[in-house]
Order: sequence, then structure tokens, then C-alpha cells
Amino acid sequence: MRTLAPKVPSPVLLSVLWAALLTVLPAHAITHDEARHLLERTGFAAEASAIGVLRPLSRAQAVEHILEGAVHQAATPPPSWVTQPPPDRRRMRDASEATRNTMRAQLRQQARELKAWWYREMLTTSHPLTERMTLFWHNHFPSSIRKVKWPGALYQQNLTLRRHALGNFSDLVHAIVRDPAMLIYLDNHRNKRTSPNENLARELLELFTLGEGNYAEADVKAAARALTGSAVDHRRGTYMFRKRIHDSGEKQFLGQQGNFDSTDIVNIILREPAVAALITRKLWAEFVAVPLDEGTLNILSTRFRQTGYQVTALLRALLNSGPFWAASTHGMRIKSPVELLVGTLRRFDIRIEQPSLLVSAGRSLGQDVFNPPNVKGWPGGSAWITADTLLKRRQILDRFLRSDALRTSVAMGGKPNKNSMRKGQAQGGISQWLAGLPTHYQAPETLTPLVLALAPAEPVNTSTRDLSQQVRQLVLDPVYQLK
Amino acid sequence: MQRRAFLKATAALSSAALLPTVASAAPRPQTLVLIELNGGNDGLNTVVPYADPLYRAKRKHLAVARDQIIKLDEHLGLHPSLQPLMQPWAAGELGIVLGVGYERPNRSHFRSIEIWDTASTSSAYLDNGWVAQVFAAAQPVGNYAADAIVLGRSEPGPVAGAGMRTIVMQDPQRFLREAKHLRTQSAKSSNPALAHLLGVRADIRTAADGLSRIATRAKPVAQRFPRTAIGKQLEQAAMLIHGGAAAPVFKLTHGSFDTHAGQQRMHARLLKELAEAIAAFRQAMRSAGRWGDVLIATYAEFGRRVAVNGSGGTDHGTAAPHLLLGGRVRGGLYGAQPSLKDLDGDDLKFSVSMRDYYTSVVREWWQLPAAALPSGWRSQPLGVLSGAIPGDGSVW
Repeated sequence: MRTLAPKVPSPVLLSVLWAALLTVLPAHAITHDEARHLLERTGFAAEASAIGVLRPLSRAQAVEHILEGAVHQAATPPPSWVTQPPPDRRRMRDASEATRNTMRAQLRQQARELKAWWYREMLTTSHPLTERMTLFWHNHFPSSIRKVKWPGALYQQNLTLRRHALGNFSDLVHAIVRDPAMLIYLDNHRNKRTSPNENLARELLELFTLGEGNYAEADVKAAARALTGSAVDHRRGTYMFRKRIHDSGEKQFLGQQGNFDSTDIVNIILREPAVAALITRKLWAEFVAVPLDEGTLNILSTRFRQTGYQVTALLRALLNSGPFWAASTHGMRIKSPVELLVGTLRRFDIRIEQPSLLVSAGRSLGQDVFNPPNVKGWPGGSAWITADTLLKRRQILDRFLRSDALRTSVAMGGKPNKNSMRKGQAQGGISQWLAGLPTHYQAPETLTPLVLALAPAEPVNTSTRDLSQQVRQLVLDPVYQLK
Repeated sequence: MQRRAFLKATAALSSAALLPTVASAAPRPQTLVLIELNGGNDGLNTVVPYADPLYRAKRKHLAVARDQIIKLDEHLGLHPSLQPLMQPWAAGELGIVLGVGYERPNRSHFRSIEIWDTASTSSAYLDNGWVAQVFAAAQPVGNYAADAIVLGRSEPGPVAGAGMRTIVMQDPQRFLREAKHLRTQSAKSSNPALAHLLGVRADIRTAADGLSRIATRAKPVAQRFPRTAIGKQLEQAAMLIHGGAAAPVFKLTHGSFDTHAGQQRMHARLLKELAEAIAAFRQAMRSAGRWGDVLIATYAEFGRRVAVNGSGGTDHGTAAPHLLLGGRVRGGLYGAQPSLKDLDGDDLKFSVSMRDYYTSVVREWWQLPAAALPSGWRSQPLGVLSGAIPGDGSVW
């Protein structure tokens, strides 16, 4: 049975509550730690230069600075094969075993290149929040290259996610139910009037929009019928509506009646308050990472709905909230593998020649991009840390710090110093980075809050004058896993 | 031979008085090896009611060919891929529990595996795995390196919970090498994320200390294992069990059995990998003289629908058979094969509840008193293992 929609507070009351929620924001400048916190939570790392830019700003101004400049397309050129059509399935089926193996190997190679492409984009983007949101939506609308097989589809999906990442959630849902990778991943290309397949319908309601308890089994069946015909043109790899297999009959869905198709279904879903609540909860967990009380959830999700599902508006609200800025919130979130890897390289200006190293490192830590474990995505949070992954994180960070293992180029735009590389300078990367820091950071007391969100768990040996040793200790400290 | 029950550590001293004077000084550590059939194994094509005309009628082209089925009796047979399990079957070491499930089944992967992991009812949400709940009441006595070891790319599931020292590792040797770098350090924190990190570190140190003791004692396992994911996990488990008291529970994963499409080939391959790995494991344990101290138990979030779907596969279902293997298993069929006529909608009705299945492990395998069962279980063991159950005086 459907739950009744909660009463929506009047706009006036909402504005009053809204003002209360923002707390009285001081007009003075944010602190160093607050700037670091904002940058780490909304991006991959708090680079010293980025902190410097935010320092003169107030909290609200800093948030605006983070939110503006969103990009909707990746700047990194994709692999050349993305424009090619998908592999010819008939050819594959009729081909010899040897040819099939070759084609499979090619697909695997393309998958590796696709993952490396995304890592490259994350490493070089001018707007890290865009990539964080793209990752967020990838985790919310998972599709796996393992099942979909054609990397071009996952590439297209990634573009769709990025296009709408900081845009409108309503547009994103409409796009996703027509996304070829998603349609294949959840078997909707096999969803026919004569033999419905409920996979996409179920996950759409259970995981992507409403959440369990906000719909009935009958709604799943009705949605599945409405989604029949949403298929993929296998020659071009694009969305195709197959009218012949579409069930155009009358359906009862969430209390409405009509000859609904996929667009109608999404529109009906988006009228439910439960949708905004689900998304708000997830974004709060992603960016604020402290418990969320029902009152705040209500205010935020109602506002999200009223803006017509504008993601930026919701983020503005989250990032301006009292709980986000509370000192006790710092260090409450465990870095995902991608955040740890990309963040460390960005923070310390470590360039790597082969992003494929990052791809396999991410996989070994439990986050193989474009290959989520199941349709629920990566659980995240404390699930990232097991005995196995904790040891591996430490090992990988250790290798990053010994930059010779990664064949780092010394600096962008400068010629590699062959002498220093031949000598195998173990701390080359970190020393370089330290040398480039503003002088006020060149001391243990200021270096620590630059690198860590909390006081280190292990006492730092401050007797050594060698700051790069200290950086090493800070990075290998358990607290480095937190942001 | 009467075995001692496990007791809480504080009661260990008084339990010494119960030791039969003839038995060896310390009880041999008993190890449970849980294998999750991730994704939901199609039980109907695993243990096949080949003689029932409804089977072929409902399963159509997906029905296992009659002449390929390994007959167990006049009604049931096994999928041909399970041929390697016929040796333990003949030796009476394979127990097949039919129709395991629970009331008001849920067909969502995530919700249903949660129910299986925590042994909750269909509407309750529990935080701790069922093994964690049992261990909260009674811990196996022994100098174990950890409470549970999770191998492969697997979720802790049943062994996750408060008070459990659960180690997730992909490779024991590598684990030991890396663990050496961690400095011993105790620290508490009010920050839950940091507390989790520090807790895992502490578990690593404890486990590493224990495991390195075992590593020095263990002889290499001579048995060759299949180079599959499940083969590797069972090989690692064998190594650790062979060396000594690594952990009372191992948790492994095989899959994915979520065969919505193209089931025939996938399912045959998965069952073959499972059977071959188990057969190798059995050999290794027998050579080490430990087969009587080990119990393999499979489980999964559900079985699959009776009817074939439009893609040559099956959708999420309900009840399914599960396998128990070990030296102490009293081989045979347990429970009742679900009827293909008397269905619950389109799905099989269960005959053995998941809690009864677990209770056999708790009471017959670990020989824990009834008080160790989590509250509300109200369950009965199946009589599938040999050995005395404390408290009722009977000997099987």
C-alpha cells in the first residue's frame, strides 16, 4: 500500500526554517582547517594553492566558489575507439573460437583504456567536484562493463552522468532509463510485452528513486510493462524504441492509471516525496558524513523537490549547513580508493606516466571503476577498510612516496633532470613538492593540518629536520585514510 | 568418542573436569567453512527431481538431460557437473539438505542475503551476522588467531558483527608480509570512522601474530587445487587449517549464480568449479588427518524460480538445497524436496527453515548448548552430524 505524501510546508515557513538551518553565518573569513575540510570533502585533495584561494572568503562565498565552474564534458581526449560501433554480435557468434578470443581480448584492452581515461580526467580536471559527482552517480546508477561488455556503452553512460552531474536529477533519471549500458546491464533490452523482465523496473524503484517500502510489487510489474520496448540498437549502440514489443496497455502505477510508457513512469515517480528524501540522504552521507536527523532531511529534501531537483541547489544547502562546518565533522569520512589514489597524486603533485597503475591499484582496494560489484554499487564507508585493504592502502601509499617506482616525470613543462633520476632519488617527488610550498607550511605544526584532517594517531617524530620524512609519517598514519 | 562442548573462556577451567581421561589433552579445533553461492543458486537444476514429469514441463529446454543426471535415488539426482562429489557421497560424507528457506521470502538480493547472514525473520533488521550472535553467547575455546577469516572477494556477512575479530584476506602469505609493517598501537576514538580503522589495525596485529605461529608449524599442502577463484580460496583455507587453529570459521564465496540469462552453460561451469574445488579440499584434509574436524556448509540468498524466463535463464526464487560435507557428516538427504505442484505463487515452498539449518551447525557441529542459540530462533537441529549434543544425553 502506498504511503501518503507528507504535507509540504508553506513557502514562508520554509524560508524561515531555511534561514535557521544555515545558522547565522559569520561574514569573516574561513579558517585554514575549514578551507582544507571544504576542499577535501568536495574534491580529491586540499592543495596548498587551493586553500590559499579560499582563505579570504567567507563560508558561503567559499561554497559558491566550489560550486561554480562546473564542467559538463571531460577535457581528456577519449580513446580513439569510442566512436566505433559495437562489435557485431552475429559475427562474433559465427566466428571461430580463435577470432572470438581475439575480439574478447580487444574488448578487455578497451576496458582498461576506458578506466585509464577516467583516471586521467580525475587527475587533471579543473573542477574536481564534477568528477566526484560523476563518481557519485556512477555508484547510484551502476552498470558494469563486465556484463555490458561493450566499453563504448559505458563511455557514453559516463558522459551522460557527467553532463547531468551538477544539473537536474529529473533529467538524469530520464536519461538513464534510455541509457544503452543501463538497459543492457539490467536486461531491459530483453523486456518484452510477451515475457516481461522486471530487473530494471525493480531496481529503478528500489534503488534509484523511491526505496523499499514506498511502492508495491504490483508497481514493479506495472513499471516493467511500461519499460517494455526500451531497447538498444545493437548495430549502432544507441537507444531504440521497439514498438512491436512494447506493452501499450493500461497500467496501474503508484495510484495512477493510464497507458504509461517509460517517460510517464519516470514522471509519476518524480512526483513522490520519497525520491528527494532518498537522494538527499545519499548526498548527505557522501559530503557531510555525519548522522542526519529527520527534521533536517525534511527541510533539505522538500527544498530539493521544490527547485525541481536541481543538484547544485541541494549541494549548496548541504555545504552551507551547520553540521557540515562543525569541527567535529572533520575526519569523519573514510576516503574511497579512488579518492585516496587520485587525491594523493593531486595533493603532492606526483605525475604518473601510466594511469593503468592507478586502475589496478583501485581494483585491488575494492573499487574497479566501471565495474561495480552489483547494482547497489559500492557500499563505501567502513566497508572500504578491511584487514586486506588497509594493508594494501599502506603499501600503495608507500610506493607513491618512493616516487622512483612510478617513473615520475619531474615537473610539467620542465625537462626531466636525468641526473637526479639516475641517482634514483627516493623522495624526489615529496622533496619537490615541499620545496614548492609557501614558506609558512615548512614546519611540522603547519604541515600536519595541511596533510591530515585530524591529529595523527601515531606520534610524529618531530626531532628530524627532514620534513619529507615527516610527510611520509603523516601519509602512512591511519588518519590519512580519513577526510 | 564424546567431545567436549565449547564454553566461555571464563568457564574453561571448570570444563577441564569434564575431559575424558583417555582423550588427547586439547580438543581438536573444529572449523566451519561457509561457502556462499553468491547470486542465488538454481537448486532445481542442482538436485533434480528427474522423475517428476512437471520438472521437464516447467523447465523446458533448461531442464537437465535425463540421461546425464547422476541418480541419488528413484526421485532425485544431481547435476552432472557435481560428479566429483560422488566420492564423498559414496563415503557417506555428503549431506544434502533439501528445500532450505524461510517464511515470507524476499526476492531482493541485498535484503535476502541480509536475512540469511543475520538469520533474521523476513521483517526484522539485525546488525550482526548469525555467527557473531552465536559467538556473543559462547566462544569456541582455543588459541585462535582470529574469530573468522574471510577469503576471496567476499563480504563478511554471517561473521560480521560487534565483538568479532574478523580478518578479510586475499592471500595469507602476503597478509603476513604486510602486517609486519604495522606498529602495535592501541587507541580508542570517539570518531567512528577512526575507531573502525584502529580496530582493523588491532585485529591485523593479533591475527598476524597468531598466523605466523601457524605458518611456522604448517607443512605445505601437497594437494593440487584447481586454478579457479573458489579453488584458490579452498586452497588457502586448507593451508591455514592444516597449520593449526587459524579461526573457527572461514567464509568463502563462489559465483555469480544470478543466472537471469543464458543459464545452462554458466550454471554447469559454476557447479563444476565448486565440485572440483571441494573434492581437492577434501583430499587435502584427509591427507592431513583433519577431514573430521572440518565442515563445509553452503548457503545462498535464495534459489530460483521454477519457470524459465524469456532469456534462457531463471529469475529470483525462494527455497533451495544446500550441501554439508565433512568427516563427521552423516551422509544422505535431509528435509523434503519442494513440490512442483504445490507452489507459493510461482515459487517453491521451503521444507527446512534456514534457522534449523544453522542450528545443526551450532548444536551438532560446535556442540554448543541450546542457550547459545540467538533468542527467538526456536529451531531444531537436523541430525546431520555425528557426535553428542550436550544437554540431551543422546549420542548419534
